[in-house]
Amino acid sequence: MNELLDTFGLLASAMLDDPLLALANAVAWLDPLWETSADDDVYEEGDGVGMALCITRSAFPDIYAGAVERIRSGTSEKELDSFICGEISQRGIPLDNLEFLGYGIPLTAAGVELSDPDLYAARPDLLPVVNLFGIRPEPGHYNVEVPDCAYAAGRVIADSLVKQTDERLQQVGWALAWLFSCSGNTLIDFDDESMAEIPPLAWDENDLAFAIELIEEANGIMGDVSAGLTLLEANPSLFAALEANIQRTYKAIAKMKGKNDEPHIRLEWLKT
Amino acid sequence: MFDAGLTVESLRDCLAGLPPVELKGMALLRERRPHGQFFPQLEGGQMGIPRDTIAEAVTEIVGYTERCRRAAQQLAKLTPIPLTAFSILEYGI
Repeated sequence: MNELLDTFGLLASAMLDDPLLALANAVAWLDPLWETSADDDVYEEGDGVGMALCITRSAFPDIYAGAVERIRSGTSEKELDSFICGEISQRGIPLDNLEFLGYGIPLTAAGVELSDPDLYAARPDLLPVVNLFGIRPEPGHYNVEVPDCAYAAGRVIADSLVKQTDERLQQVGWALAWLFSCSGNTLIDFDDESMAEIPPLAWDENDLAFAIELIEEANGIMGDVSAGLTLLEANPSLFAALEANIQRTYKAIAKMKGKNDEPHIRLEWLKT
Repeated sequence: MFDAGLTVESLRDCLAGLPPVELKGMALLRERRPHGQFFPQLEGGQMGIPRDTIAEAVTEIVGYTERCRRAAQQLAKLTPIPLTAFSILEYGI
């Protein structure tokens, strides 16, 4: 083709030969939001895609570039939403909707509140275990009474079980740690209400690494919680051992006559 | 600054002598731009660029933009220096 007729190619090559124009082209290609300062909130309320682009620009540069390319090729907003959510979820931050991005890193609380009757309506499988601690939800009550020493006993027993060498006993320990909010992982120990009271994590490098680690650990613990509860349900001798140890712990707490310290007792567990 | 022997002319020559910036994104553009298009394809296709490379290029450009923005802000805040020995005849009062 005559060079003069290939004006597009000629101009495009000439632009890349000039350092300033090449820089402008690279910015237009990879960072069309270059006028956005890291300190500005340029997106408007309800502009989920705009917000997502601002956040991914600093937190996930390759997702940002992929999203820009899709916008350039005419991808619909719905597809873009799905692309960005899917990509961020793959990095370890589960995300269903771009609107959630604006509230900081979305974290799902898995914790429970034992005094909440809705818990037992949603999870009736927990009743046999909480009954052992003297927690007995009654129909029509707005609040479930939890004995004063239940949390202290729950912590002592969970701690003892988690320290066992038998992996299945550890799983039962994690189930109790979840029930009594003492796992040490915020997502496991906090319910939605408690989680709403703490400041959200920002989309910066440190918070992001922390959130991914937190979510990964919580997923592992919740897997153990589920396995531990199944094990208790299927293993009557282990269930009986748990009952005996709860009673021993309650007695030890009662002997302390209101002292705040947790009792130091050696609990014995069956080999599963 | 001027006491150290740096003149307006030498400062201008110094700045003009700086090599043009060469960012990864510019090199990628030169290497991967398909004929008849302005920009290379990021994903898929024969010209697909690895994600890590894209992430590095975007991070570098975003960082460069931010450094330029901060430099421009700092320059805008410089205290004016009266140049008593320098006259601009066109604007003489």
